Amino acid sequence: MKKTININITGVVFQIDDDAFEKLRNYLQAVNTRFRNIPGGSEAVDDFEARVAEILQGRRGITGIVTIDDVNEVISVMGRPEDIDDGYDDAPGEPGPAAQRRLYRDPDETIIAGVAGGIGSYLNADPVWFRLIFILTTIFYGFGFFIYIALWVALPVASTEVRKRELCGHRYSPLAHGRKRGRGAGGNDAVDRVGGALNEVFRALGRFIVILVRVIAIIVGTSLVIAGFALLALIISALVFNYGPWLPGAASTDTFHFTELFSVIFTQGAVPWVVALSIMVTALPLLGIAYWGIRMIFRFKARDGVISITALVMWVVSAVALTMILFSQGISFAESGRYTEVTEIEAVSDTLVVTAGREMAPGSYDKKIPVPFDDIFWLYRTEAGDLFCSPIVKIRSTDQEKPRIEVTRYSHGHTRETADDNAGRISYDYSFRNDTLALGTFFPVPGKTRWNGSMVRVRVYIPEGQSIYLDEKIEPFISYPSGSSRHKSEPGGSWWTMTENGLTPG
Amino acid sequence: MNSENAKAQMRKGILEYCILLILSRSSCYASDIIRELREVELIVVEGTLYPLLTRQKNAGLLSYRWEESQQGPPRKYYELTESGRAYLKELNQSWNELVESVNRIRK
Repeated sequence: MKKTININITGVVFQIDDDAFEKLRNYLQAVNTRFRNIPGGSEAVDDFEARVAEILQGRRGITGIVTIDDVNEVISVMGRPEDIDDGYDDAPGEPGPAAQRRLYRDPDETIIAGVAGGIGSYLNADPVWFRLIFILTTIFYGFGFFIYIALWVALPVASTEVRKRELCGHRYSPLAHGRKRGRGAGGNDAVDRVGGALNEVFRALGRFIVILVRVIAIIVGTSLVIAGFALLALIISALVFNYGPWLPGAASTDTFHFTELFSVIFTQGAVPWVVALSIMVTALPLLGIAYWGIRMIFRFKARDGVISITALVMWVVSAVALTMILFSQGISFAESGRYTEVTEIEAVSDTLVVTAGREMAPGSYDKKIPVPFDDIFWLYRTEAGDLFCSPIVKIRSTDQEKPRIEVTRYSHGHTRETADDNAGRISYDYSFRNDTLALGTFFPVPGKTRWNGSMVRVRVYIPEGQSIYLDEKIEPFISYPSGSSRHKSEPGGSWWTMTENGLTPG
Repeated sequence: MNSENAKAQMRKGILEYCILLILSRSSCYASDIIRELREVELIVVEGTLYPLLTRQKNAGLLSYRWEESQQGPPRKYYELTESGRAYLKELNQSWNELVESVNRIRK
């Protein structure tokens, strides 16, 4: 039983045996390669094929099926590719000009990427030795790996007949299903056997490395996809659905919504724009990361250049628009400004009492939001949009005789002057009377719709030996040094004495 | 130096001349040209002819027309163009000169 195939040569249909087809195809390919360099070569190929069809037509036997004998007859009439004299001066058998030889990666001698195979084919040697050189220089010196990677990137694949000819030189013959290697000439059997065994080892190693690289790519790709989509979901849920699970206090009604934060910072009309543009600016890179991950997992090729550039342009436009809105709203964190007041405390008779000055009654605000990383709170009145912030209060020792209080207000602005100005405008109240220091527990964030990173730091400096009483109203606002034995959530006031080791209880 | 190679080089030079000569008598199908060249043992394999015909056509020496054939697809009939004839005239002249030169040396 023999398989036959229907083929069409210049418009004439033939039934042809499988083996005959294989031979004819290789023949016509070789002729094609030979004619390619001639101007108008494709026309010559067409004429050539028309003549082949004619010969085959004339030989159609009883069965009407083209056999391998018919193909052999065609080749003997038309001539083998190397016998065809096209009138140009590259007589067969002579090596081509040196300039035509080029180094490629060899797709027929591949273990990882065909780099060593390509060098072997180029130099007419067994690639196993170059593989050995790559591995040894990788193990002992390390640079072999990098050279391999560099060649992998730099060298194209010999994917066409012309490139294979350039790679192998005159030894290459597409008809012979491969090429004759010159290694038999100088080598001997033992060397060949060792080379063969090494090649098997390298082949196994190569397969392992390829699989390892794929596994790593899939793991990394999956992580990128998960991270990209998770962050995307988080951002969309925060900005669109007002869900903010990562802010402390989220479980209670004290959840602080991004849109509320924006309405504190921006004028009301700008909020939707800020939300939309923020989504664009954050979502596009995340989508890009997720897409990159998908490509790493499935290793497909896509014509995504236009989409990438469109996305990049959209991102830049969004970022510029968002920046312009921020500037038009007078929001700028470009420069930080500060304003510091130092007040000396006179004549403490015995114990310095610290209490709360100005307070916010529990019912006077809607939300109390702890600010992560700083030991402070925000209080928010939803309806009026008023924002209040607690100061950072710390107690420190001083080698001066008298206690003193240092209040620093911080703010930001697009110039140093406006930043300093903004800082000076923060109104924070504190007073000292009858051995009692009253510290305000909140200051209003000025301008009500202009939050510029305003912050107040209070430092109370206490000389050594001075005792101090912190009452229960001020205690929640004190930032104790780390390792302190007293936790501020305990009820009741507390007594302390400043020693050379810092603030100690009692 | 092998004589086959020298012969091949000589053949190559006059092959184009002979194609033009054959076509100067009448327009021909490629197989007709091949048959005639084969009879005088100028070419061995047919494949050689096609790149040459294409080259001469591209140089404007030849043109072709399609003609229906009883069996199979239409065939290309080649014929000389005006510039082909002028070119052939020059070749005729230089051929005569060459033959004369060679004969004089061979004496």
